[in-house]
Amino acid sequence: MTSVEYEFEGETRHVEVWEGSPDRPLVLLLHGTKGTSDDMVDPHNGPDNDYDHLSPLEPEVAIGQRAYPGIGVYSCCTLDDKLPHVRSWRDVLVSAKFPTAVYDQVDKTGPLERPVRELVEVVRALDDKYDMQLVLLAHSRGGLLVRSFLKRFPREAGSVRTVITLHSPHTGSSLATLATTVRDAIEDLRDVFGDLITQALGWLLEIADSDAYREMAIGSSFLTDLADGEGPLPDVEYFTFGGVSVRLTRIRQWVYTLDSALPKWRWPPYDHARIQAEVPVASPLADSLPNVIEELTEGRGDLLTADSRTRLSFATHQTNPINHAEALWDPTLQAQVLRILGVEIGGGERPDVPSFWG
Amino acid sequence: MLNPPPAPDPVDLLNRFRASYRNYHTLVASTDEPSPDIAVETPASHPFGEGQLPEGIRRLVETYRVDHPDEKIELLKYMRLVNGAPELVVEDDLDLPPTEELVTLSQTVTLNTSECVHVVTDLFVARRL
Repeated sequence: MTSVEYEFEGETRHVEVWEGSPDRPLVLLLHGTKGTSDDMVDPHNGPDNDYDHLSPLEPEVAIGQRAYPGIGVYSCCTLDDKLPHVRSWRDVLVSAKFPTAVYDQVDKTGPLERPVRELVEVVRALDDKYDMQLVLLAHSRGGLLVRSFLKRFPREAGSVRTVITLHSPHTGSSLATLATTVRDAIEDLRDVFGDLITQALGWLLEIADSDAYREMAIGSSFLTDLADGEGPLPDVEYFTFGGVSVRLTRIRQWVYTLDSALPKWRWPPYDHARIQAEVPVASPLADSLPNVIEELTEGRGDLLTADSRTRLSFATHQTNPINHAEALWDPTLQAQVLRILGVEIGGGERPDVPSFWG
Repeated sequence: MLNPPPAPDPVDLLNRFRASYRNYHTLVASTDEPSPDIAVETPASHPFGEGQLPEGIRRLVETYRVDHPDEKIELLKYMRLVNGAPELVVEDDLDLPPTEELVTLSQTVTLNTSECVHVVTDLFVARRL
């Protein structure tokens, strides 16, 4: 791994680059609001939303013989465990021999003005060092960062050949507009389930309340200005991806089995056992939240963005049944992106893909 | 809810009941010194019928009969447990009926204060005909 220096506003900063095959383009990874380079390198540590919501619930556990019937809830509540392993974009790209670069953006929760100017310096430093064609792979707000960069600095973007945005709110997010409504819904859940809800959804509120998301409110002057006169740059291909799952984690509890309430012909008469179950009404999060906005509606949004708003008129779009965080490690999405770049995971390069990078 | 709880399996529950069943009439008969705290009677010495069923159980049986109007329920065994310990067992050496005929009926009532706890369970074994 090489650390490439760039200067921004008088400060020396670094973009980390993992070497790859010289016949592959350099992929620059761009994180989203409140993110860090960890989003792209180690998403298990940040943003830390890799709940294993598809795993089977725990089977029955014997407790012992008791004098009284066991009825109802034994203990409550926990969220799903984290996935034992998730593969980051860095891991996938490096193993496919793509030179891969990532850096921590300035103003992670602020307006995009400074991150755009910073990206100019990052691209310039990479061009100077590697002189390679560039792929910009951006998650969430990173997609707006890319668009703003290409529109304002097209000459500095001469090495860019492919733009891929993952779950970016290109035409805005109503989460910023309706942050108060969403907060009320989450507060109601927090009244019942306490810190568990903060643990699972606190990040959502922090993002919704950030200046960065206000800038992305539907109809904001920033988005209006960005779209005004915007078009694809020549020789650049655009791809967008969106998600339509708002499923984050189940809320689990232990309940007594029915058998715990049925006495046996001996003493003590009750065989207590517990089994895992989901908490009715509230589980799974965030499906249980009111569908007040498209972003939080199963089948239409991914928690932070609505699929319909992740599209660009000049881009090829694909929709996946994953949430906003899962776009950082979902293997199906990663295979789709690699296919765009001319690589089949595990199957070698696709013969029908032209030698785009040759 | 992604994983709704499994539907109860009545046969499995009856099998669990049968697996832990012991005939105390036979056990006491084979023991030299039966526990003085437990009264073990037979249906002959301590007759009981539907009239002795606690109110809650009787209503449940009436509800059951709405869907099973032709069935008769014959009470075979009775046990009263207080705080998990048996106070009275009424049974003879008859084994449990086969699973398709076996019926268990029970009711537990409780009283709990800062000074005491009472958990009283009435448990009946019956056969449906």
